[in-house]
Amino acid sequence: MKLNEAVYGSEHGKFWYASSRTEGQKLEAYINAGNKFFCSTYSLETYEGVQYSNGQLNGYANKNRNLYSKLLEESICYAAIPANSPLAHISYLNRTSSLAGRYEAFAGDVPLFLSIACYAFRNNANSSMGVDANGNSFLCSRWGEWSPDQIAQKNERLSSFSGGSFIIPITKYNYNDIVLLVKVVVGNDLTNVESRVFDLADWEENYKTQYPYIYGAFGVPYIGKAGNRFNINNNVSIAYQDFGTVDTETNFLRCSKNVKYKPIPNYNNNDVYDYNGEDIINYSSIALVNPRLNDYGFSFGIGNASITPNATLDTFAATGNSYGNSGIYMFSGDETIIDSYAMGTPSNVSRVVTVLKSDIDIRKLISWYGIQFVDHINKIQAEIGSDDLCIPVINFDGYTTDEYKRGEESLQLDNADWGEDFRERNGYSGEASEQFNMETELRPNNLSASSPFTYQYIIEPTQIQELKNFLYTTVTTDTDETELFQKFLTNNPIDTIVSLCVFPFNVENYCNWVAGEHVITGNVDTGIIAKGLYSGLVVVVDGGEIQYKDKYKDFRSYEPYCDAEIFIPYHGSIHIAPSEMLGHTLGIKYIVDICSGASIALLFRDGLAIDSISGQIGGALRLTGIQTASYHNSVYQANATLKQQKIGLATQTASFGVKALNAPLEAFKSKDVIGTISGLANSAAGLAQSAIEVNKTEYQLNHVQIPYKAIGTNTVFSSMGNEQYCRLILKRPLMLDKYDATIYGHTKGFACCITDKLSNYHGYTEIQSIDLSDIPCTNEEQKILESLLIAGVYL
Amino acid sequence: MLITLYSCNADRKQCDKTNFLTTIATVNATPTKAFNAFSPSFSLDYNENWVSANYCYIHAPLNKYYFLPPPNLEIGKKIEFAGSEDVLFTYYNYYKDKEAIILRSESIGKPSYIPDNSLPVNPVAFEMESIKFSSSPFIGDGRSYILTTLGGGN
Repeated sequence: MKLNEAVYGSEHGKFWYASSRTEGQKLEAYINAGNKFFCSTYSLETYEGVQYSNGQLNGYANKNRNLYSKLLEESICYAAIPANSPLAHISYLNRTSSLAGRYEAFAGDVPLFLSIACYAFRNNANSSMGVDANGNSFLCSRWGEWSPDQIAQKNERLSSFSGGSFIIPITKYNYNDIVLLVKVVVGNDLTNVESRVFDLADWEENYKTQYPYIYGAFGVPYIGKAGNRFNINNNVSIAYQDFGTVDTETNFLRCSKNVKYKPIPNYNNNDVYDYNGEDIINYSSIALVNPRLNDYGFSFGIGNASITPNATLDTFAATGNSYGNSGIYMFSGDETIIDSYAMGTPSNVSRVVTVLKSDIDIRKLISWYGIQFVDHINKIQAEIGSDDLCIPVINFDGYTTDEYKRGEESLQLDNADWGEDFRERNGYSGEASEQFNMETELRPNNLSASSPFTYQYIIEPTQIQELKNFLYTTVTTDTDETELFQKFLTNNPIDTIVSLCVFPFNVENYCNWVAGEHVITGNVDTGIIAKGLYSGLVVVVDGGEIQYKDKYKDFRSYEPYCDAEIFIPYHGSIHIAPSEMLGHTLGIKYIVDICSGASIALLFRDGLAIDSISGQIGGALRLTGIQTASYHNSVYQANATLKQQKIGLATQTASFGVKALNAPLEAFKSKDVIGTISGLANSAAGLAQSAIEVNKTEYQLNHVQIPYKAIGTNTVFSSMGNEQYCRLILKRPLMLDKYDATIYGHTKGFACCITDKLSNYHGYTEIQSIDLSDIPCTNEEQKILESLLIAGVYL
Repeated sequence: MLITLYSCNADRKQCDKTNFLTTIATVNATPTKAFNAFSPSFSLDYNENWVSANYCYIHAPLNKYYFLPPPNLEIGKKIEFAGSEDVLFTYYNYYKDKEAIILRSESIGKPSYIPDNSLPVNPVAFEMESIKFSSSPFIGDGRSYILTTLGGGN
C-alpha cells in the first residue's frame, strides 16, 4: 500500500477500515489484527478489550461495558461500524470525517467513516472533571454552559485529539436543532487566488458574474437550543445561534439520525473542470471538517497558493490567519485533497482544488448531508420561515438524496418532524415492538467441534503435504520397537481420518480456534502442528446485500413482466417476486456446517429471512494412505512364520546330519541297507522342503503387499470458478423497436387509475365513469357524452 | 335561427375546440325539416365561402355546437346542411371540473404501475441486468482446509 491509502469493507458482520501510515506497509497487517478498528491516525479496539497500540477506547470499554447493549440512537455510527463497538455509542461526528472510498468510490454505497481521535469521559453528570481513556484528568467545565440536554450517562464525553485542548461532550441534539448556512468559496479565475466566500444566495444574486468559479461549498452549522428552535409544525420561528456565540470550543457537527450517507454522485465532464479549465473525469468528495480547524493549522491550496479561511469566513487568506466557525466542506476533485484536508495536515499547500462550474446546483450538493439548510445569514439571524428552510429529501430506506424541498412541500417530509426521536412517528416507544423487530436472529450454535470421537483442524496446504508424507510412512524393520511402531501395529491412521474439506473463505474468521494443536489420528500423533477448532461447528457468513430499486418505475418492474432471481454462489438461484421485494434491502447469509461443508443460504428482506436454498460450500478432498497397521501385521506375521520355519529347518538339518552319520552302522545292524538309504533320502527330502518353505516365507516377507486406502471422493469444484458474488438478475421486457412514448401517449394514453378532475389532465384521456347527472342536457345527450368520455377524448 | 359557421380542424374527440375554430360567418338559416335539436337540418342562401364550413354554433335558444358534414349544393340557390351535435364541446364547461375515474391519460407521460396490456412490449426481447451484491466472503485469497479426524482433541 502507498502512504495514506485506505481500504474498508465488511466481514463477518463487522465493518473494518484499514489504512497504511507507512509507505509499503502491508495491508494484511491490519486486517489480520482481528477485531480492531483503524482510524486514519489512530486505531481503536473493540469492546472485547483486545488491546492495541494507540487504542484509545479501552478506557471507555472498561468503564462502560454495561452500555454496550444499548445504543444511544440509530445514527450513522450504527451504519458504519458494528453495533457492539463503543463507536456506536457516539452519536455524532468529531473532528474529521470523510467519505472514504478511494478504491470503491465508484462501486456503490460507501459508509461514512468516522475518524475519532480521542476523548475523555466525565466522572459524573455534575462533575467538571473527566478522564481520558488512559486515565488522565481533563477539565470539562464548559459542559453545562451550553448543552441543551443534561448528560445522559456519566463518563460519556469526548476530548480532543491533543488531549485537552477542548472537550466535546456526547449529547443528543434534535434533528431540527441543526441548520446549515450554505456558503460557497468562489473565485474570478480558475487559477487566481482572489477567492471569496459568500452566502449562497448572496453570491447567486450579486456576485455570480464577478466570481463564476466555485472552488467549494460548505455549511456552517447553527443550532437552536432545545425548546427554542424552529418548530416547523407550529410554524414558530426562532433565530438560530451560531456556535461561536455559544462556545467556540465546543463546536461539532452531528449526523442526522438514522441517515445513511452515500458518496456524492459522480459528475461528468460537463460539470467539473480543473484549475486549468480543462475538462476532467472526476468525482466529488465530501469532507466533514470540525469547525476548529485552526487547532490543526489547516490550510489547503487553490491554484498555487496556500489558503486558510479566516475568522469571519468572508474571505480566504494566506496561511497563518486564525479561523473560526465553519462546518462542512464539500470539494470536488482529487481525493488527495480529502486526505490532506481530513487529516488536518497543513503541508499540502500545493494541492489543487478542482473547480465546479457555476451552474452546479449547490443546494443539491448540500442536500446529500440530509441536514436542513438555508442560503443566507439573514435567514438564520432573523426568523426562519418554511420558505427559507430547505429540508433534504431522505428516502424511505434512510439514504440521502440530492433533492430538497421548501415551503409547503417540505412539511410533508418525514424528517421535517424529526425531533427528540423521529422513531416516535412510527410508534416507537423506546421498546422494540413486534413491528420493528421483524428481523431473523440467527443463532449459530457453539457446538464444540471437539468431542471424544472427532476433532477438527484448520490446516495449511503445506501441512497437507506433511500429512500425506505421514500417511505414507511405514516402519519396516522388525527391530524397530519404537512407540510409533507399536501404535502402528494396532492403528491404521488413514482409517481415523473422517474428511478433508476445502472452503472458499477463511474459516478462522468465524470459528474459535487455538493454535499449536498436534494433529492426532487415532492414537497416533502425526507430529503436525495445526490450529484446532474448539467451537463453532456451524458458522454464519455474510453474503452481502443489495438495495433492490425500481428502474422503470412502472408495471414492467413487476411480475409477470419482470422475472427476478438471485444467484447465490455454491447454491443456485432463488426466484423472487418483485412485488414483494422492490424497495427493500435484500441480503444473503450462509449457514455453513464446517464439518461436512453443507450449507444453507438464507435470503433476507430487511433483516427478515424469507427463503432459503441448500448448497455445498465446503468441498471434500480425497485422501489416500497406507493402512499401516494392516501392513505391519502382515510383516509381523510373515516374520514370525519365517522364524518358526527357520527353527524347523535348523532342527531338521541337525537331525539329518545325525542320521547321515549313523546310517552305515544302522544299515549294518539292521542288515537293511536299502531301507536305511531310503529313510535317509526321505529325511533329505523333508529338509529340502523346509528350506523351500523358508525361502518362500522370506520372499513373502520381502514382498508384503502394502495396503492403500482412499478416504472421501473428489468434489466437483467447478463452483469455485463461478461467480463468487450473489447477484440479483433481472429480466425485463423491452419495447418494440418502433415504440414511441409520445405517439403512444397521444393516441392510446398511459394506463392509470386515478380519481381526479378532468381539467387536471390534458391530451388523450379515457375514463371509467363520471357523474353527469347535474349537466343541463337531455338523457340522450348525457349517454352520448358519457360513452364518448369512456371511449376516449382529447382534453 | 342564428348560426355561426366555422372551419374546425380539431379531432372530433377534442373536447375543447376553442382554439381549433375559425369563424366563417354568422348567418340566419332556415330549418329544412321538422327541427331536431340533436341533428338539425337547415339551408342557407348560396355563398361559396360558406361551403367550406364543417362546424357551427346555433345560437339561442339552442346554444349548441354541431358537426357539419359536406352540404348538399344547388348552385346559385341554396346550401343544405345536416348537422350532428357535438356534446363534448357543448357541455365542456359543465363536465371539465368533474371528478372522474381516469383509466388512461396522455398526461401521465410514461407507463405507470398499472399493467397496460396495450403497451407494445416485445414478447421475445428482454433486457437483462445483473446487479452485484455489496460483498462476498469468497473473494480474495481466503481459503481454509478443515481436517476431521478420530481421536484428536483433549
